[in-house]
Amino acid sequence: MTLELRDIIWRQGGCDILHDITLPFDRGNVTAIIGPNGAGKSSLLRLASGLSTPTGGRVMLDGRSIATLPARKLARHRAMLTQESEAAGQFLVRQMVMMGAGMAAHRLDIVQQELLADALVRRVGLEEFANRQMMTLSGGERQRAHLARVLMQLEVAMTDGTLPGFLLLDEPISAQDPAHQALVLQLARQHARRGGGVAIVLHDLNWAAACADWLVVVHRGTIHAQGPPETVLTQDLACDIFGLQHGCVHRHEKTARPFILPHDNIDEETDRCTSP
Amino acid sequence: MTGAMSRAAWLFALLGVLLILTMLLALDTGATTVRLRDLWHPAGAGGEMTRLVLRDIRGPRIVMACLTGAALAVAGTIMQGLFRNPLADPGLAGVSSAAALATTCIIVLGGSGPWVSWLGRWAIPCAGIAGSFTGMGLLYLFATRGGVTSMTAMLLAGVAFGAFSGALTGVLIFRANDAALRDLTFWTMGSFSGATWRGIGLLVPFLLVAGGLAVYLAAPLNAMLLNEHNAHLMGYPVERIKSLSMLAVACATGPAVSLVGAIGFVGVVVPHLVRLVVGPDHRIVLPASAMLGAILLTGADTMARTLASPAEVPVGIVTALLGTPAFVWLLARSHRTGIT
Repeated sequence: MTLELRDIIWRQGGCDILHDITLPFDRGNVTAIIGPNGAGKSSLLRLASGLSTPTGGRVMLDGRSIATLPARKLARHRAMLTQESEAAGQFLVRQMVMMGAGMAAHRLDIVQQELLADALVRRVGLEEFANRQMMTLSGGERQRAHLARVLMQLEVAMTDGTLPGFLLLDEPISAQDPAHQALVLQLARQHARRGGGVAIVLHDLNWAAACADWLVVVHRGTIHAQGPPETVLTQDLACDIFGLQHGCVHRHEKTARPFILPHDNIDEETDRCTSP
Repeated sequence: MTGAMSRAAWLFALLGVLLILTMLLALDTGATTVRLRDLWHPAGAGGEMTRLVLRDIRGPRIVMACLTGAALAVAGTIMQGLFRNPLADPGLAGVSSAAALATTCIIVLGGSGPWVSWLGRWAIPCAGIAGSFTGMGLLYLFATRGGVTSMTAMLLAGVAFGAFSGALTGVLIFRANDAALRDLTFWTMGSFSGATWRGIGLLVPFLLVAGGLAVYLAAPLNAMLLNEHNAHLMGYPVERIKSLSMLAVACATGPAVSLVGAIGFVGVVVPHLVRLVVGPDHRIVLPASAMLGAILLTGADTMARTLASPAEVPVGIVTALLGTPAFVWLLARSHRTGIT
């Protein structure tokens, strides 16, 4: 039971954005996608979601090409939080979250929809703002409200016994403070523990190493490395791909997961191993 | 949501009462004094006169004003939702300008053609309807590449198309004789004075299609406010929503404009007023806009035929005179509060 990219090539404006990408996202796992700016991480996620159509190769959902699935059916099995968190104008937070039910809204009556939306609003820590207009929220709050809408989409699909779907998150903590960064990633892990698949594009290598079961490093449009964080996030990778200093990768005492502690003096030219 | 729903229920009740009162007031008001109760006690010459005025003159006129107001307001709501632009109105979709061009062609050039004489007095509205659907179709085809319609291309092409048809209409007006000019002036300012039950019969099938589409489109248009990508990710067939929205706008606007002429501001102002009260949910805004549009245009038409009685002011002038300050107030308010 997977969402899988097979031999993906994607060209835009004459440029090869992605090439030779074969990558399965398994149910029950959190896959974090990391890489320098412009590596093609978000493009990869957009292809996996069906928002973009690959130039070559196929995206398969449980053995079927997603190109053959109507939008309505696809929406029952995958939901995506994009980087554009629209202000959604005068919609109240609760209204916006309920919109996540989409074309499956008829499965629940209005009271059930409200209860589910309220529960999700609480889970993303916005219970105080449920009746506030979206445009009055900060960027981070807005991002979490959209996360609740995306979760609503998969929750409503599950009401008829559909397996938990794939949750695709494109930089979901980019606007969050540290506490809410942890909250968002906890929600993603909870979804995976319930049997859903999760793919997250992250810039923060420490959070990626902490939350992922599988780490995928994208560099110059292709997969540079993948595997458990312990084996992937090495000193060489930190130097070669991310241009960090030698000695910046450490091991967490309790979890044994790698973490990065940069020790650059930003006022001085640093002896970096390679520029990314 | 419960608060919003009860607010919406109150709004619908209020609009329903206002609509009935406006229609009764419009029936009772006019150059000829009639009594509504004569409709049910038609004995004597007074009763005959009342029936004539109410059933054959004011009746169709009021129904036509209601339907046109509702249609223009629904078309405006759909356009604003689809383009995610609060200033969008049906005129931007090329419908009104194409209808104007086709109608002007008939008035100025086509008076003697065989099919024009066959269609008789329906030649002008039929040309308007054909023109509006052709205009919308051309714009849609222009903005669609590989099965994907670019709303930006459609908006820009709509502006260019409007200017070009305006220029062609101007050339035709330049060639027009005095009689044609009078007809054109009447048409470009809008009037319900020619409303008949037959005209309403021509309008209703189009409005039923537009109404059915509006019911289907209400929830998808909410999702489109979160942008096309999010709507697609939520499972909505985005391209179908765009094409059905344009069809709904053409069905709601083309026939109405062809029958009663160009009437501005209803399509822009009414959805704004409704959103101020009930928020942006199209499932509420669409029906409420239809009701408010009906009320405002019936009221405006009543003013149009009584302000200079027994002469008539074109209803387009009344809506523009009332609509412009309302529009400016809305703009100033949205600028102050950040709501657009």
